Amino acid sequence: MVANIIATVPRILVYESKKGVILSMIAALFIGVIFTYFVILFFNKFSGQGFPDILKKYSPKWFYIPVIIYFAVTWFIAGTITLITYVFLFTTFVSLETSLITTSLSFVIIVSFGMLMKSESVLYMLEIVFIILLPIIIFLFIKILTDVNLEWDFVKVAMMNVSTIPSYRSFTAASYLFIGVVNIVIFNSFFKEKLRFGFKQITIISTVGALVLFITYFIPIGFNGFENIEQMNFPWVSTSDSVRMKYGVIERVVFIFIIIFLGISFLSLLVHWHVSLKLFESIVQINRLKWKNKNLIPYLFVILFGVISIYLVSKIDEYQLFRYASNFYNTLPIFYFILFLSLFVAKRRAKV
Amino acid sequence: MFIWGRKKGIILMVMFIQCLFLLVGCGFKDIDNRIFVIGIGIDPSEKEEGHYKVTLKLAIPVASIKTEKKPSYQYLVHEGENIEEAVRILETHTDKVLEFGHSKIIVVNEALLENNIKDVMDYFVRRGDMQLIAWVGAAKNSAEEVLRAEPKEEEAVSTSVTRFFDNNGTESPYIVSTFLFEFRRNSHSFGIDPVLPLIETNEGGSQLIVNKSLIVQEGRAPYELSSRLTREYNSIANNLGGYSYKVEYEGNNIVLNMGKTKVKYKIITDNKKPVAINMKIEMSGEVIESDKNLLLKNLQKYNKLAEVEVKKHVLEFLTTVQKENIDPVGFGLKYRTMYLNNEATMSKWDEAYPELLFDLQVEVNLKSTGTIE
Repeated sequence: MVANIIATVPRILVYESKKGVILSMIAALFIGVIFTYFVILFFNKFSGQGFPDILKKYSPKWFYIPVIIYFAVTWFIAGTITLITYVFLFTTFVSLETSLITTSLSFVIIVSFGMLMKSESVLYMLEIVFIILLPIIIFLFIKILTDVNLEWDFVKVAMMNVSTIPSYRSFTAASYLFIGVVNIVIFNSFFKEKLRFGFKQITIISTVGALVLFITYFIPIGFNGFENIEQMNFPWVSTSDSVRMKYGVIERVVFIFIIIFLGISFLSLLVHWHVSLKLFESIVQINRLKWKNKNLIPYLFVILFGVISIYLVSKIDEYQLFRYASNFYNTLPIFYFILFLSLFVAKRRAKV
Repeated sequence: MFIWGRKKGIILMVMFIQCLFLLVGCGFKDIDNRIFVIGIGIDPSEKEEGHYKVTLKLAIPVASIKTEKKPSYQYLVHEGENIEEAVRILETHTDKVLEFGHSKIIVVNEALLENNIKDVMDYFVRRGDMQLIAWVGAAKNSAEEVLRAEPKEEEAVSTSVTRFFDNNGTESPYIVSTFLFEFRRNSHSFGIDPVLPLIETNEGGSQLIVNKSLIVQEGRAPYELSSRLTREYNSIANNLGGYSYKVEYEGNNIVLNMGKTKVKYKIITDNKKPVAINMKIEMSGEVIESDKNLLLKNLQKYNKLAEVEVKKHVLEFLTTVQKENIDPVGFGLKYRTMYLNNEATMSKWDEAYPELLFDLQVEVNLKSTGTIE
């Protein structure tokens, strides 16, 4: 949920600011929460099993191989979008002279180590980084929200556009916030007990989701005005650059912001690619590719991921990134549909 | 291959360390190869129409603050067709890389504010390494002169011209401070006009004076607010206190010093058409100067007198900007928050604004007569 600020989501939301973003966000919030609820409900039926195992057990080969490949590719793209966005942002704001390739290479190398870790360790790492960074993020948000130069009148003007008909593009972008739950497809094998998802959890998820959506979209408007907000390429970085910490160690909040979100986007990239790798691994098994009892397939995929992403970083420009990312988000409903379909089939067959 | 088998780890390690020597170094420049730009001035070119003259104020690093009496600066000036071209040429005027990340002030010549604001601003906002929290100021005759001024009280490692705005040193209701992002936001938005501080120098450039301001609207000459109107603006828009009013009571001249100010306003509408602005001002303060002895029990009476006086001043400000059809406070913006957005909202406001009535309610609360009665 937090990582979306660094992804292309705010860019798409502000780009659509005159085209009914508010209703789309409300719709995305409802559908996202319902979606989360059902995904967890389904996976609770199969505690301790990952999605590939479930599919392999209960569905024919012609069905599960394309589905898993589709999921893996989707996850790989989701991670790549985060990577490219962050690399662009880093070269625009922090390190203007470093080449794109160097920046992305350093990212990819570190993430590659993370990808090869055990899924369990990935979860632990997620926890540790989150616990370290979350207080700082909350501090930053409070700092930004209480800034005197944040003009709430602009936020209200933006709200006055509530009557516009919602757009599909902003809906899918906003619902991207709730996609994190799908990572359960791999991590479910570590949840031996049933996850509790009752009224309390639903309330927490919907309030946090609403708050994050509100902050993601409205706060950049409060700082940059409503009329020209769609021209901003990095609405959130510009917003954090608009806040001044008078007596802070670093006056410009933007540097703290970028460093913190370096950690967050790294995490998001790591989780996405790790899940993608595990999905690929579950279907590609070539016995000959072994060296001293070690399976070389994950290494192959890691290298492949790195090469593809670096190729993309050097080829793509900002406009293409924006267009492809929003096209990618637009295809996500298909993804949800297939996920539910396969889970439904598995449930019918397993009779649980 | 015997050695390989036993000491594989060590050999690999040595090879890895040897590889490190092949690395060529950092992709970025060290700090001693950079020079910090702390101020940027933009003037219209003197030679050619439509060109810009760019002045950069560079801070020269000092070894230690204690040994250094005066700050030392270097100025780079060049004219170019656009700002980028001038900056590129200026890069060849110094042996170091120009680092824009620390430029805290952008001074723009008044003459450029009429038509070229968006041009000028675009460059600074577009550059990712420029701060959006740099202050923007206007210069009457020449931005270069303002940057070149080196006030006597200036210390090493502190730039006077930015310290006017950062609320660390002087804090005064006569000083308007506007960040770059704020200026950009307000000049692009409907219903609010940006205000810039006017930075002046005395003759010889040994002093900087900031107490006037300019209201900028694209396509027309910026409207200059006098010091007093600037103060009025600050009290309404930014709730800044710290200024004085003079009242007369029974032949006695009393000067009141206002501390806290609280302003609330509401737009009264009739059938979605704005008709009046209802403004409530609360102030508290004390007596600072008087010809004769004052009585504490008379404070209530002084309150009443002060209320009349404040009302007169604020009304003067409001009607002045209304007559000029500019809106620095953002009444129009407020109006836009009241109704669902459509094209008619703004035109309705534009139509009604010149004829709006101002309904002021002032409440002054004098706390004391100072240390003497």
